[in-house]
Amino acid sequence: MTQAFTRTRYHAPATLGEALALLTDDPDVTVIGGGTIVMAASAGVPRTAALLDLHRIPGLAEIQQGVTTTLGATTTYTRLLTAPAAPPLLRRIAGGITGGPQIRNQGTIGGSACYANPASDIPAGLVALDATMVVHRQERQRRVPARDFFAEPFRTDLQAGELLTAIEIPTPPPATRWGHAKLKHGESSWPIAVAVARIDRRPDGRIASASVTLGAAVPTPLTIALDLPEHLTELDRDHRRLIAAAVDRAVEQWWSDALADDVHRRRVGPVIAARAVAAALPNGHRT
Amino acid sequence: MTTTPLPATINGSAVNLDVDPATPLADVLRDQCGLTATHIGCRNGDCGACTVLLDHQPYKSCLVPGGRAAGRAIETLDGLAEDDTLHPVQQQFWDHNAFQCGFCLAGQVLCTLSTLRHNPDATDDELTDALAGNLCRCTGYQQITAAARAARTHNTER
Repeated sequence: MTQAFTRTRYHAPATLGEALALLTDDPDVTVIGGGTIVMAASAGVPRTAALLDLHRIPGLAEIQQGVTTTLGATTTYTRLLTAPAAPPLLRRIAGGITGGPQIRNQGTIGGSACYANPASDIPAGLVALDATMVVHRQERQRRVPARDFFAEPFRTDLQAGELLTAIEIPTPPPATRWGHAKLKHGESSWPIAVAVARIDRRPDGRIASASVTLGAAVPTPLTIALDLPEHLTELDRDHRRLIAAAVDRAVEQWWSDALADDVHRRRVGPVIAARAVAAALPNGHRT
Repeated sequence: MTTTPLPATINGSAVNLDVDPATPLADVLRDQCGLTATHIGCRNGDCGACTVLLDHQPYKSCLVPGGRAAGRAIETLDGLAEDDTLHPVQQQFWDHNAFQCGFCLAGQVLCTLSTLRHNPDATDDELTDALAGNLCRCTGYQQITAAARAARTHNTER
């Protein structure tokens, strides 16, 4: 029998109130949404004294569509792929998650956000979508912009006793176009660089604003404003060079891990960012 | 270690196990149930050799806390064949030489099966995607994808 978990206490509360009480009462508890990170034996996560499994709490895996789309923290990637109410950008990102249908069935958007691994897909997606993280603790609730939630590699803004319960995604104007690009060197790899471009247009079609949010290649997601020609419909080589240069200027530090060092990520990050911008243009290429 | 009762269905039979709920389901199945077709390769969610179906959907059972399986219908590779007769998906893997050592078979076969149960007309791309969470170190995947595609024309319900 595996040794790692045999002394681990296991809580699977049936209500959010019970979960919040456990979080306050048991400082050693580790929250699991899907569990794919914490249960992995060699992911570098310290073994834990107690697991707090959220899977029984009603409604925590639901998607609600209104003025904003609210995603429960334990919404799985499979749910993002199949639910009509899921934001299309997140559906696209969920389709590229590493690990096959087994991981898509188990991994959750909230779990990925709370792990805050720089080399992952979800954090940059949430920052690009201008998401708001809904955080509960006993008797209290607060909302944190996604761009502030990802404090540093593997650390979020969550404080002791707090639980991420939902993620709110504002509905963008109809003329907003998104572009997504990603680089990984093997099907089973964590991403090396991900980028989400956002282009907003005026009623006459001219570009009003453009930005690209870079992830995986940087310690925490970074949104970079871009100054694009207002009639731009596709990228030529010079445009790509200018976008890549703007990204390179904006990044103070490139991420480095076992998969790729900062020198490599600095070479590929700006290229992926330009591909994301191209994908957000009418004549863009999906790569 | 505190154990709790775990009522579930495993390969069609109702069981009530006494499990440590934090122990991975893969260990519960292997050590307490003797269902050793559920292989443990990486304990990391990478390889897929420990794949089982929970309520018809594939999961990597090394990552699933045993306690979470309560009330679920669990299917393992051990339960597919009837006596000496292979399940149609297994038969296609056999006919296409889709394994050498066989270590990855739980993931390859069960991901193929769950996909075809939900979508008997799955496209080649959908079948390739269904298999993407399983590492094979022997075959180079060509025979595996050929077997999965051939299984489309055979009855997967049995």
